[in-house]
Amino acid sequence: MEHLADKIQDYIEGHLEGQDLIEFENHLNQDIEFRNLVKLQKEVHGILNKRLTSGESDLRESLFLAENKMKYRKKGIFQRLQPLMAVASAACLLFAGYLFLFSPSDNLYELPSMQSEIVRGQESNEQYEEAVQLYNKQSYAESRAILNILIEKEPDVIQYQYYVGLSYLGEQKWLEASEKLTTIAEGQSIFKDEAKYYLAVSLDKQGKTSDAIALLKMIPSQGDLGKKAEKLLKKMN
Amino acid sequence: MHIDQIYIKYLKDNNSEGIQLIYNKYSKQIVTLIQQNSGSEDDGYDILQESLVDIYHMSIEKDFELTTSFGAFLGLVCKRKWLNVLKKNQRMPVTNLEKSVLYVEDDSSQAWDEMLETVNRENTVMALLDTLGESCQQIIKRCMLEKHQEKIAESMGISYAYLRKKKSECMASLVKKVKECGLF
Repeated sequence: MEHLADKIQDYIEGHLEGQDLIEFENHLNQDIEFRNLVKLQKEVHGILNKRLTSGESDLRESLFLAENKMKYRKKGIFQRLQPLMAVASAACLLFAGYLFLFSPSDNLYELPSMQSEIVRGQESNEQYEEAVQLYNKQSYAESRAILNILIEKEPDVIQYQYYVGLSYLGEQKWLEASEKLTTIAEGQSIFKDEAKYYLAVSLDKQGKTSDAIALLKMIPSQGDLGKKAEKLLKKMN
Repeated sequence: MHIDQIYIKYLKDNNSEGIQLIYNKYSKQIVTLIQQNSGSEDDGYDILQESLVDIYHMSIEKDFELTTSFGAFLGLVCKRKWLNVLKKNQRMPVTNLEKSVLYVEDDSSQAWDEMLETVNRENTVMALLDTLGESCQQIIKRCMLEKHQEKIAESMGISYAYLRKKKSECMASLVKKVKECGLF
C-alpha cells in the first residue's frame, strides 16, 4: 500500500492515468482503510483549497485595525505595551517548555537521505535517480559526478547543488561543503534553511563554532528542522 | 432575511467601515462577557476576532442566512469558542456559561451547530498546517494558490517531479497529524 499512498495527492488532483490509475482504483475498491485515507486527504485538500483562497488575511487586517481603534482609544503608550510584553513572555516560556519537552532525538550530524523524484514510474529522470541511489549508498563522489552533469544541463535547479554540497559533507570535505552550501543558505530556495543547518555542521567541524551558532539561530523554529537546529544550538553552547 | 444580514455582508465584503461599526457596537458586550467568565480583556478581543473570522467563513458558504439578530448570533459563536478555550485549558468552572450557551434563541441552532463544527474542523487543519516545517508550508500554500506548478518548481529551484514528490510527502504528514488529532 505504501507506494500507492505516495500517489494519493496525484489521484486527488487528477494526475494519475493509465495503468497507475487502474491499479490505484482497484486498490481503492478493495481496501477500506486505504479508501478512508484517500477520503480524509481529499477533505483536507478541499479545506486547504477553500481556506488559502478565502481572503482571510485581508479580513484579519481590517479586524486588527478596528480592534486597535476600539482597544487603545484611551490608553497611554505604556499601557499599550504592557499586555504585548506579557503575551511575548508567555509565548517565550511556552516555546522554551515545548522545546524542552519535545526535542527530537535524531542524530544531529547525520546526513539526510537524498530524495527520489519518482511519483509515477514513466516520468523518472534516470540520471537523477542513479545519483539518488549512489548518494544513499554513500558513494558520494560518483553521485556528485552525475549531479554535476545535471547542473550543467539545468544550472537553476538548486536541488542538484544542494545534494552536491551534502555529498562533500558525507566525505567530510568541510571546506568544499561550506563553499557549496553557503550560496544556497544565502538564497531564497526551499533548501535555504536545510543548507543553513548543514553549513553550520560543516563550520562547526572546522572549529568555526560562533559562525555555526549564528547560522542556526537564523533557522525558523517550526517543524523538525527547527527543533533539530535548537538542539544542535544547545549542544554547541 | 433578517435586517442584520448587513453585518454579514460587511464581513463578506471586508468593508472596513462596516467592520468598525461591528466593533463599536458589539466589542464591549463580548469583552465583558469573557471577563465575567474568567477571561481578560485581551482574551475577549481575541475571541471576538476569531469568532468574526469564523462567521466570515460561514458567510462565504453560499446559503448562509442570518435568522436572528447579529448580536445574538455573534454572542453564541463567542460563547462556544470561549467555552472550548476554558475546557482545553481547564480554567475555572464554566457552568453558567455552559447553561447560557445551551440556551437557543431560534430553531436555526442545529444548522449553526453544523456550520460551527465545519469551521472548527477547518480551523484545526489550518492550525496543523502551521506546525509543519517551513518548506512544507511553502509548498502546500503555493501549490494551492498558484496554477502553474512547473513555474513554482522553477522559482523554488527544484524540478517539477521533485516538487510533486515533496508535495505528496507534505500532504501525507499533514493528513497524519489531522488523523491523530481525533476530530476527523
